[in-house]
This record gives sequence, C-alpha cells and structure tokens, in this order.
Amino acid sequence: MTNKFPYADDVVDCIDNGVFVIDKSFKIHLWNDFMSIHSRFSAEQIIGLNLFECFPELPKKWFERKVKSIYLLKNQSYTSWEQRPYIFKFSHGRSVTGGVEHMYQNCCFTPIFDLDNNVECVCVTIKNVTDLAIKAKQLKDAVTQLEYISSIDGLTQIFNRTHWEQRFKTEVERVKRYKNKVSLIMFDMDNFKKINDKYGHLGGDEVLRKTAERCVNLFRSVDVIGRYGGEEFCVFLPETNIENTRNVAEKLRHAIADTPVHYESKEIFISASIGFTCSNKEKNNYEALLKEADEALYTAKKNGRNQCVNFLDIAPED
Amino acid sequence: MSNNLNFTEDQGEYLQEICNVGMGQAGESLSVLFEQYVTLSVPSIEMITAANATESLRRLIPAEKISAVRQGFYTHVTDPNFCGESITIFSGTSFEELAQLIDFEEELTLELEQELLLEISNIINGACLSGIAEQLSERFFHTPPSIIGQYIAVENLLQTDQLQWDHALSIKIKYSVEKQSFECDFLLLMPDFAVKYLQNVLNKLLDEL
Amino acid sequence: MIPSIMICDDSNIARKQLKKVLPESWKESVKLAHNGEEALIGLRAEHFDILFLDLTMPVLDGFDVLTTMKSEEIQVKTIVISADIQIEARNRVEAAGALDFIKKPVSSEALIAVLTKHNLI
Repeated sequence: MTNKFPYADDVVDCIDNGVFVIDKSFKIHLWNDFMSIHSRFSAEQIIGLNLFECFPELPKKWFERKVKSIYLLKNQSYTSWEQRPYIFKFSHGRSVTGGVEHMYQNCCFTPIFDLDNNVECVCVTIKNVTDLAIKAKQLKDAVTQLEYISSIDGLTQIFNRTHWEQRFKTEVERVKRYKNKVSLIMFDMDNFKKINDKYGHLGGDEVLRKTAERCVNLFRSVDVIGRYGGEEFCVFLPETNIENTRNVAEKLRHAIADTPVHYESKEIFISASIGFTCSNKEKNNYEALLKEADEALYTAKKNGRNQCVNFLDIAPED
Repeated sequence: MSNNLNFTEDQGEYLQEICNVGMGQAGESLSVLFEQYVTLSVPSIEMITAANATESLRRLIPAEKISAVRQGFYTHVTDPNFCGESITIFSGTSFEELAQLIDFEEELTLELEQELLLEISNIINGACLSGIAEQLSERFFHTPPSIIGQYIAVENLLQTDQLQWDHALSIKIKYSVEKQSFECDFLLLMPDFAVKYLQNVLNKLLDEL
Repeated sequence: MIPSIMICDDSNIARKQLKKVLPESWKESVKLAHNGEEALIGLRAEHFDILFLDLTMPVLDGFDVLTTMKSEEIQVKTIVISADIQIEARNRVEAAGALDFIKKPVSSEALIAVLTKHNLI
C-alpha cells in the first residue's frame, strides 16, 4: 500500500495553469487557485454550479461539442491560441506594460475514467501563453513589414524591379490560363544624364520621385507600376486592350511633359519616351512582351523622344 | 544500423495486423463523429530513407497541394526513445463538407477551418494510436496537434535538411467518406531508433503466439 | 462434441491469434483458409460447424463469401472477426447472414461470450 503524499490535493493549486473539472452536465467539481484568481469565483463558491450559468459569455455550443466528443471517443482534445485566442476572457499580467487586451490561452481537455473505463468527467487545463502569442504576432508583423520593404524601391516608393517582374510574370501566367489579356507600357526619361549634370543627382532624384508620383495618380489601382532601371519605368495593365493602352500612354506622356518639376526654386522640364504593347494568344510569354515594349521604346527614342510608340505599329509583318 | 532494420516476414505481418486494429478503431471513432460509414484502406507499411524522403512522400501522397497537421507521440520508454510523429493530410476535401460532417454551423473563418483540421487530425491520431498502443502493451502520450501548412506542396512536410534519422518506418492509412467526398491520409512515422524497440516488442509478441 | 472449425483470414498472424484463444480441445480440428476462395472450396467440400471469417481479404472478401454461401445455401454458423468495427459493418455482416461479430484482436473473454450466447459451447 503506497503512502499517498499528504499534500497531493494542494498540488493542483500550485500549478501555474488553470485546472478545473466538469461532468457530463457541465457541473463543476474542481476549481484550482489559478481559476479562482482569474475569475470572480472561488472554489467554494463555484463547485457544484453549472459552468455556463457562471460564465454566460463562454462559446457554449462549441464547448458542448468538444466535451461531447471526448465522452464519445475517450480521447484528449486541445485548443490553440492561434485558432481560438481564449476560452475564458481573463485579464493578462501586463497591466502596466500593456500591449494586449486579454490572456491568450492554450487549452487541453483530458478524460478521467471510472473503473469500467467509461469517461466519468473531463479535466480542462488553461495555459497562459500571452507572452508567446505577443512575440509570435510581433514576429509576423515584422516579417510582413520586411516583405513589403524588400519589394519597394526606396527612392520612388513604387515596386522595385525584382518584385515588379515577379508580379508581371504571375500576371502573364494568369492571362495564359484564363485566356485574358494584359498590356505593358515601358518608358524612359529623356535626356536624364543631362538633367543629372545640370541639376545634380538630387535634382535627378526629385525628377524620378515626381514622375513616379504622377504615375501613381494617373493609373488605376489594378495597374502595377515598377521602377525597372535607373530612369526607366514599367507599368502593366490587366484586362486592357491596345486601344485603351494607347490612350493611357498618351495621357502619361502629357502628365510627364506638360508640367515641369520644381526643384530648389528651379523648373526642370522633363519628358519621356514611351513604348507599349499588348498580349495576344500567340505571344503570352513575359520575356517576349518585355522585349516588344523595349523595342517600341527604342523606336520612340530614335524618332525624337517625348512620344509614344505602339509595338504593333512597328512590328514586322508576319 | 541500416541493415538491421529490415523486418522479417512474421514481424511485418504482425505489424500489419496491429495497424489494422489501430486503423479500425480510428475508423470507428470517425464514423461515430460523422454518423457516416468510413471506408478504410489496408495500411501500407514501408521503410523510407532520409535521402529519399521527398520522393517517398511524393509517391505516398500524389497530390499537388495539401493541408497537413502533425502530432507527436512518446512513451515511458526512453532508451531507446520509443516515439514518433503522425501527419494527417487533407487533399481536396472542401471545408464546407468537413463542417457538414461534424455538424458545424458557424460561418467558416480561416481560424475555424484550421480548428476543423486540428480536431479531425487529433481524433484520428488518438484513436489509431490507442489501438496500436493497446496491442503493444504501451501507453502513448501525445503532444498537441499543430498545422504544418495549408495548400502546401508535399515536399514541405518534412524539414529534409534537418532530419535526425537515416531510416524511418512509414505507415499510411487512408480514410474516406464517399457521400461527402471526404478523404484524408494518415501517415505514421517512426525514426530508426524507435523501430528497433518496436521490432523487439514484435519478437516478444511472436514468441507468445 | 468438438465442433469442426474453419478460420479464414489472409493474415497468418491473425489466424494464429484466433487459434490461440480457441478452447484447447477445439484446436485439433481447425482448418485454415488463406482467402475467400479457399474458404468456399473447403466449405463446399465438407461440413463445418463454425466459420470464423475475416472481412478484408484480397480477391474475395468476407462479404462476398457470405453472399456466396447464402446463394449456394451453405449452412455454416459464421462469426465475423474484423478490425473494421463500425456499426454499419456489423449490420451489413449480419444482414448478409453472419451469426455474430467480434472485433480484432480476439480476446478469449470476447470469444467465450459470443460462443456462449449462441450455444456453441
């Protein structure tokens, strides 16, 4: 006959997790100190009462289903803060440092068996994982931030080339699969080297920033703008045919050339050479489209700059 | 080490029987929960190597995108460490159907979908392993289930560059409910050091037969 | 009187496990079948008092054996032994003509209980 540890009953109150026991009708049979401290109920007050009557805000249906399946299947069951932040809305320990509204909880439901191996009652443990949850959330936010930062060109605050190309590639694949279309505009600032020489690199930077800004204001939110090179930009326009692209390209040309850029009380006159193209059933390859826009852009430069050229106008006859 | 892990024909057959029982228990638990008949496949048992882990997984689970839940189990036996992990893999079942199966009426959010996956995985894992444990006269303890990923490729199930075993025992059981087009694969994995212990237990059981 | 027994299961281990829990005196008159086809050949050839039948077997499974027995009017008291213990499986099996159903692995207590219930022991 083993001697039972005389303080065995007190151990439950030493556990730094909530521990309570309910039967099939959700009557409470055990309620440890952790539960007493965090709820309004001491053990003496709550033992014998119905759990849902004492905590009407508990998700009753979910709780009942969970416990019912334990009686049926005789297995252990769990919940995690990641899917269900808490079962009991307890306060956390950060009353001063703050940063969180309530305790985050991981819970475990364990069956307790009688001598015939039927489930007599269910023991629920509530683990306070607030610190862990906060750190995990911070990490997640930091990663999201990082992903955003690594996709953006620092100077112009539009997408950098790597990210823009990835987006364009994905779009072209989507177009292939769903037989839609996408248009591409590629433009390059005219005489940019001369602007840098005359106004300094900071002047050049301001020109690029302003150009990007005018782009963002001109295009729709579904159009994707990126800084492709030093003074080169690309825009792809989903679901846009060549006619509409021609119109937008011309609007872009005006938006850039009609207004000078103000820099240190000076006026910098700018313009861009613009090339554009559109996908079609045969040419749904993102590299080919980039090449076409590039050729059109080159022709615009050759033909005197500050103009738009449609690749389909200069393409060799098939 | 690697050559000693080959199962004899008798050991293999006994293990097959043990897995049948475990599988049957899990099937019954699911059918009680779903209130539908659950079709069970014959467990397929094989040894896989760490070097070919990805290929083996692709062969065992020929789906493009899967959602998977892992859960670990361990025992009192620590020398050698008798433990392992299960991976429950869902490919193709819609969440609406899953929710219908367990009478879930709330609107499905991402978190509730994840809870569904975790709940069903936990049930299969618990039932299957308790059936196996009983026959091995062991008691299995479980870690809580956790989601490996949703809509991921099979390659991402294991951290193949950080595996701490050369060989592992893999037991695959398929559960399906035709009427609701529910289907899931339960993969039980035991690393080499655990397999040795298992073989000893099987030998004892064979002697008693 | 020692009944003539047939055990039909594709698993050698399962056959041995069941034989082990049979009453001692019965063990001598046990015939083994590795699958449904073998079982039917045996059942057609001679009379058996009790058939212990597994469900999941290749080629001809337990259900097929039961339906064939019914159609050929082979009368044998059949007890299905199975790992698939769902209610529907039990119901199907009894509808197909089986006397009873025991879940695997068979314990001697469970076996004695079923045999006693049907006055086989």
